[in-house]
Amino acid sequence: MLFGSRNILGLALGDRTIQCAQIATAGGRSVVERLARYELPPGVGYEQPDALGALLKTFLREHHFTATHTMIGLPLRWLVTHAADLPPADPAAACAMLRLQVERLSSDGELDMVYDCVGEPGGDIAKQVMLVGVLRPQLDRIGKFADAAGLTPVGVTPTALIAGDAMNQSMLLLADHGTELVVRRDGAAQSWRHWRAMPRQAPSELPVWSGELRRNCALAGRSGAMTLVDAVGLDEARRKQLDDLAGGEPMASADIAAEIRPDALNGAPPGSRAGMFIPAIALGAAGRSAAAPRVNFARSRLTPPRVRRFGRWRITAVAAGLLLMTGLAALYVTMQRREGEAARLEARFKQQQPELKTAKADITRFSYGRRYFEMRPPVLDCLKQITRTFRDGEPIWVTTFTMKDTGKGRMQGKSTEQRVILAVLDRLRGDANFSDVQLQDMREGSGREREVMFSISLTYHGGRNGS
Amino acid sequence: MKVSQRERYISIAAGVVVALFVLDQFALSPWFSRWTAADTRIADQKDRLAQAKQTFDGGERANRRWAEISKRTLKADAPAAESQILNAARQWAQTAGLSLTSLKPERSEKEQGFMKITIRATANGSLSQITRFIDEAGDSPLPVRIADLQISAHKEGTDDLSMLIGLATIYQPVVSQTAGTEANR
Repeated sequence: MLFGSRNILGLALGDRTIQCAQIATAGGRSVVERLARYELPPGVGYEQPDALGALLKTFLREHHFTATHTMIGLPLRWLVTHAADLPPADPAAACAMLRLQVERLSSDGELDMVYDCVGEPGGDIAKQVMLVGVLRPQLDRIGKFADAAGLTPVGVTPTALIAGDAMNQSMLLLADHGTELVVRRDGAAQSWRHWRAMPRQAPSELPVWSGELRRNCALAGRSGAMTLVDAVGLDEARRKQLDDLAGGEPMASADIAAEIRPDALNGAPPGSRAGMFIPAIALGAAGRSAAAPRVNFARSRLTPPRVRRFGRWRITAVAAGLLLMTGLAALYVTMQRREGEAARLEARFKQQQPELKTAKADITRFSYGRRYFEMRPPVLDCLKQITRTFRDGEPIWVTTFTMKDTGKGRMQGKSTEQRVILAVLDRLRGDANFSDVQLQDMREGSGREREVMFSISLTYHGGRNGS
Repeated sequence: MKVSQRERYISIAAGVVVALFVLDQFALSPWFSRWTAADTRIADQKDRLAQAKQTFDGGERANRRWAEISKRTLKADAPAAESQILNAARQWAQTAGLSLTSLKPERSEKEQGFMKITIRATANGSLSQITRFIDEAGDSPLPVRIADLQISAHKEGTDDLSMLIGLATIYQPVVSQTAGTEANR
């Protein structure tokens, strides 16, 4: 029933006492972490829910209770019961019929009641179900009380019915506020009774009490088929006396199907036993259980379903529409921002145009002007490189050398052998400092010594930064 | 006419489809296109601005460097610049031991915001003297550049050479500089 919370508090309310049990789950088992009994101080009761809740909150904190969710159990004395006949019907129809009966009951008695039913309504056969009701003002006070105590109720249910479910047997519950008897048949509570009388009371009152007990034990079958939940701590003599009054057979003592931590009884009065807290433990365990309690006034199955003002489809459509509108608005705003950003950058670039033009002109002027200071044509380097292509002893000489500042040059000369001219040409072509080395002309002269005249064009591009 | 639940669902679905289509036609697609176009414009402008910044930085560096290398020697008028290069050529020839036979201004022309003057010198001497002359011109702090060079031998087999050299210099007229500055503003 409770998901996401580590532990839960079972609160079994009595007239002047409240049993508290904090239950946790470890390895799939319920573990009782804390047990305590809170006695209502004089002058404070459930009629002052805020004050009582605040006092309980302090008490719980002092006794190291940490749970924030609670399952609240009510005494049977606070409830009214009605039997209702149901024809064969599916659960929804059965609930609707029970709801009609509940409305009639409330209108007849002019009482504002909250009802739930015991067991599952509906089935293939006609059956009788028990309607259990509590006064709405009382339920509201309990809600306020829990709120003031800093607790969130996960359910409000009759303590005895939950304890009976936990025992899975007819049960006699002895509590401070009285005695409660639950008779179960076919795995469900069939009838229940309660008395103010207690076995600890004066012997003069016992005959009245014992007669009631014997009759109801007879209804349950026999006293030996009944479990005793002793929340008051009877001594041996009283227990024997009780068994005798019930019909002679000893009743089985209730057992706790949960692990009890050694320090759990830190808030209980001296002499208390863990078994005395079975009602609160059963409530806590029911709160941790995945199944909802069969009677839950906090979420009654007989509460008329809330009429939705708007259908689910309409809400979904409106939500989708809103989401779509929001998305469109976000898209439009983002688009506008991006366009604005683009326009701003374009305006900025346009604004920079005059300065940009000036900067470009400065760079162009510098690039041109530095040619007269730092990037002069490497004439000497060119001459030096050309000289290296000539060998001592070769019959060749240059008559004219011309060079432009672009690096283009021309060399004219003479030789006695074409072979030497071609050798120089090859050396020039093999030099990485020259390119476009072309033999422009090579012809024999008209003189007697048969000289060969030549003309070579070339481009020098080495040592550009030298001078 | 009573509308069945199925017909109602079909009507709603059809309405939703039509609405989405209209929405896409008139809002989603145009807006996404504008968004994409705006992103492209932003990217382009950022690139341009980055390039512009590089240009500004380059311009500043160029101005600083230009101020360093051109101070004192860059003249502002033609007579001063011409006189400077003629005197320098004569001085280099003297230093190199060249026999300067001719020295005359050739032409003046406007280039890249500067005025360029070219002079032509003719001299006779040995290869080492010519080399020295070129070396002097190359190492000069003046704004000078060898426009062209021709070396010819007077007589084969001897180190008697003739050099015809074109030397170019620049100056920056004050008037054009002021006009340029105003134009830039």
